Amino acid sequence: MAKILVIDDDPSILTMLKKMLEREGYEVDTACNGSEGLDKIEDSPPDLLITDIVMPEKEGMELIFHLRRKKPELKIIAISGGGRFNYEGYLTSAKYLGADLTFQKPLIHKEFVQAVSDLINNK
Amino acid sequence: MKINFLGLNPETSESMTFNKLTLSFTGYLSNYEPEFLNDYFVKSLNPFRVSLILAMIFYGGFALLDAATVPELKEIFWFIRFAVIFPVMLSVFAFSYFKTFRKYMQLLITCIMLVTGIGIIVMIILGARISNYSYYAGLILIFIFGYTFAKARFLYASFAGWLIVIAYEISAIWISDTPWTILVNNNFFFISSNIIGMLIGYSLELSARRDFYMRKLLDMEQEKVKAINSTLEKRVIERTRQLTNTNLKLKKEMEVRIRLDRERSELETQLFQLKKIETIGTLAGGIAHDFNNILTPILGYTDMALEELPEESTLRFDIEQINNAALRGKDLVQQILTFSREVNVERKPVKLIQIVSEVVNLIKASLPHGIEIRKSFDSGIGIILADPVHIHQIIMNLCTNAIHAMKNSGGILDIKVDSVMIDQKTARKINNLKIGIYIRIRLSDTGHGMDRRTKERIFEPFFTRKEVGSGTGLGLSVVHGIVSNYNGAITVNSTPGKGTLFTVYLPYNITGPVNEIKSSDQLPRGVEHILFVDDELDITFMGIKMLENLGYKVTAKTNSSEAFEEFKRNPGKYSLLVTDQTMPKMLGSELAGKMKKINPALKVIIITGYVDKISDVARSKDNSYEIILKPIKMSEFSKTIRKVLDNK
Repeated sequence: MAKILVIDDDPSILTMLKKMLEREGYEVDTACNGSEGLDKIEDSPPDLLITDIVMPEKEGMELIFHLRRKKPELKIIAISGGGRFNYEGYLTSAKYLGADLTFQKPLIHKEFVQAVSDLINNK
Repeated sequence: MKINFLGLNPETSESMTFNKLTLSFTGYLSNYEPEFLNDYFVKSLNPFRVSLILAMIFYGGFALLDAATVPELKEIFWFIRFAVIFPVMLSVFAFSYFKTFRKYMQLLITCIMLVTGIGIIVMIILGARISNYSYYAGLILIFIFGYTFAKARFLYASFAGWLIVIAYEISAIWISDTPWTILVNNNFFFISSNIIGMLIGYSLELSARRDFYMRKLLDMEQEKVKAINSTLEKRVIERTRQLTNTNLKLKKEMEVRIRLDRERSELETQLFQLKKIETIGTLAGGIAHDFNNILTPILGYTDMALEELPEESTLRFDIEQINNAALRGKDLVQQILTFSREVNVERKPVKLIQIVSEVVNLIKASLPHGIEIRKSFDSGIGIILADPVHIHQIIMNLCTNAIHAMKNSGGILDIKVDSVMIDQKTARKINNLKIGIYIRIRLSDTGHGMDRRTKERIFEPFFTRKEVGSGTGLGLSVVHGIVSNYNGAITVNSTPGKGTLFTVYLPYNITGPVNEIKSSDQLPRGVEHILFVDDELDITFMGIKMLENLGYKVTAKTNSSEAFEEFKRNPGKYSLLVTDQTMPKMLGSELAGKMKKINPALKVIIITGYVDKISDVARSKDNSYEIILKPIKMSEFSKTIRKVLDNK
């Protein structure tokens, strides 16, 4: 069973995504900021990381950059509701830094679930 | 302080310097001596002649005395008077009318004094034989004449005077043996009168010289005054000229200042509006972020709920409503983001006219009664680089607004699309657009129009005049956002009660995939060599690009004299001259005239931004020039070029 770690500073999104992905049969862990997420990745590395970009503790961007060097095999999906100053720039930058996929919030349910499944199954 | 007899200070150059004995001017005045002598001569000539006549009357008149006192000698005396003295005096009198007299006047006066004196001395000698010693008094008369009326100069008169004295002494002592007492008596009167005569002569000449000197000083002062006056006049004229110039400059400066002030305040207003819109945009971006985070769980949970709920569940409808509302929220956020320019523009080649036509057809389908749509599209406009959705949004939004404005009254919705060249001057007026070629979409309605306050705010998001529920108030701000994102501009003109005109400028990206543009371009093309002249570098670049895209070979110059030099080197190379009219060194029409003198076959197109400058062009002798008005319309430009070149 594939293991997914979701990082987002918004608890309601975190809870929703956990439920959504668990319904699809994944084992889901959550973290509410980048530092916590990094600790959890060290403890038990997941198959897929889904991370928000704009977060208070450790920026998603920084996290992606760090992980891409340290754990090249880890799959990453970046999600964002848009920055306060540069909306789509964040997602473009995240992709540039090594995110496998990027998604704009609000997520389109079916599309997102399909993409997660494809990524985990290496399609 | 020393003061000389003229009452002037001798220390200064104003004192009169002269030889105390001869009376001649010395020092700085010596140069004036000849002038004084000449002046003295001119003044003395007439008095001299008068004195000569007077002298003859006296000399002749004394013949009566001869008859009375020495009757026995009267014949000899009369002979001396009338046969010797008179001819001498008369011949001098006659000579005085000759030019050379000027040179000998003083000498001749001396001679006359001596001759008349000797005449009298002879009479004295002869009289002494008959014991008559009274004729010496005649000599006194001669002194009086000589020193005064005759105008002899002091030195000459004194010389003659003393010679006469000596001659008398010789004759009285040795020839006539005059008794001692009579000799002393006569000498007393006679020498005294000579000395008095000398003093009078001295003072007369001195005063003549003083008079001359004073006149000279006066002349000199007058010259000085004249010189000062003329300098003053010159300075006044110069100053007046300077003042007039300064005044003109000031006036010009004031005009420029007023114009700049007006432009500045216009720009400030524009800038303020832009800043305001930008600030609201940033704010909107932030709101969008939070809003998306809120929408994410709503959509996520409703989607999951809908999947889990059985088809027949009564909850299904309710949750679907929540899901739909959240989706509308998502769209709204997208619009806000478009406005705040946070959406990446994906540009691809699109046929602008086609999209505009599509939108117009779409609108026609639901057009309220009483509204007519008119359209005029420049067929020359081909493909531009843009996102079709954006063009769609622009036209749709503007049309919807226009129709809304005419909803009750009906009217005409007019849509015009063409391309224009924006130069620096025009660019400044349109939100500081970059100069270049632009697609211009003009959309006007004959609706209710709007006042200035409304006009200033219409591009702000959430600003709406429609009643609640009929619009989000995002429409025009979204259009503004899109247009700005394309580095274009949107302007609005409106008159309350008459209607509104929106003008959208979108860059005609010629730097884009040129092949695609060319392929669909219906603009007339050519291969001729064109000389393009404009003093603005940017316009010149644009001209090259434009003409090259139409297939022409182009040589461009930013300086009229350089262009003329180039033309002189290769007069046969160019088929057409395209020149700006208003250039610093030479007007476009002048340049064209000079070139046509070299090659009369040259075709000319003149570009001018000012309607009033057309008369300048028309006034030039050759009125075969084509004139194109700025802003340049691509289609008009290309057609005119073809027309001019094909007109053999």
